[in-house]
Amino acid sequence: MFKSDYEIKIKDFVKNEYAHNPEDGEKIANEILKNYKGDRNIIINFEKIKTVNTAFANKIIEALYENYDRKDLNKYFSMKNINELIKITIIKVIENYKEVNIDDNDDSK
Amino acid sequence: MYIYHFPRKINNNFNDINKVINVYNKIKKIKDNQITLNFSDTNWMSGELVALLGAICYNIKHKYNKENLYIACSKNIETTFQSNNFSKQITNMQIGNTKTTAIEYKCFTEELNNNNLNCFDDYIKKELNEKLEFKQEEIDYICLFLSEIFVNARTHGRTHNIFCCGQKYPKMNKIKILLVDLGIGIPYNVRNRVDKTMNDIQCIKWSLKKGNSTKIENAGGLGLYDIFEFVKQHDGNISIISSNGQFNYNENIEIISKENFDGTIISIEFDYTSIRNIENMFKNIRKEKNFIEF
Repeated sequence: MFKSDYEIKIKDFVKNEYAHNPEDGEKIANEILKNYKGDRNIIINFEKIKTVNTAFANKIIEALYENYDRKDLNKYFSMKNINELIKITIIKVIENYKEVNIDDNDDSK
Repeated sequence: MYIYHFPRKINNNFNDINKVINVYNKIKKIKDNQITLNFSDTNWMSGELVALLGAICYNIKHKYNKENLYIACSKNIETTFQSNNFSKQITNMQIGNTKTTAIEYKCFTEELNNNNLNCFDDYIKKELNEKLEFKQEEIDYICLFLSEIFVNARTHGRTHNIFCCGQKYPKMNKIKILLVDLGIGIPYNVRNRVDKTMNDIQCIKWSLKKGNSTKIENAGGLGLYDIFEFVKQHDGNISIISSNGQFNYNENIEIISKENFDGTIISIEFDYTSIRNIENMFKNIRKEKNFIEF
């Protein structure tokens, strides 16, 4: 783990308590790509967010997969203030991304 | 003047919906500028079908430029149109009784044109909270799944012309919601992206499978699959009409209709009492998986 964190708050990009728009997910993905260079721990903060849908989460998860190493993500990525509904959606989106895009023999895990 | 008399009963099934689409397809072709949709003999219409009627009225006026559109109705149908606020939005009639089991009819065109992307969430939240008195966590859960259909309509359908209406059926413990978009339709998208030889029903079924998406990005294909899983989990049903394809999950109907609908109609129903058990559902999921691994 790094000693410093890069934290991004979903609520700063979403107008209400539901993160249901892919456009907002894309803005967050762009913000991460602009500011996170893999040199800190990365934390996504879901404070004041009740639900995220797959259309929103897809944008962020895809950006993470396509721009950072999976080994690093497993080491340095975390989420906070996350409820069960959000967790279920994020897991579902990650599992789906892996099923569709990642070869089982891929050893970059 | 062109007058179409609607039948005595209009239920939310393919047979009756096709009759309505048939009228719409005829109106598109006729030259007469004065149209009357006559519901004087109709004494029952499933409330959620008002979304389809609203979508059709919208296109008759705005796409086919038939300005003089009239609706005549029986007392029963007038009550239906008043309870879901359709009459007020279409004719500016005042509504009487606000104590209702209807989920209000709404056209989202104007709000989406003004870039209010939260309009659907705000609408569902208000309807479920104020009128149908659902608890907050139940509203969050229902809103999450319904948002997937709405986002699909505006992003894949590439349209702002989206219409919704619903009805609570207390005796059956069911809520039925109809969402209609006047976009490019599922078959057009799927054929362009996947396989030009697929027919309309194959395209609809393809879109319901996990991981299948017509988006160019690598992530996706969970929206319709998720809503499909939602209705299965809550003793519900889903039916989809898009172009000539008509699919109904519970009744195992997969047909290519002779009636073409230029857009997509998604009808979902679910047992709202089963949603009271959200905490238990989460416990089961927690047992299955509780960590995130890339």
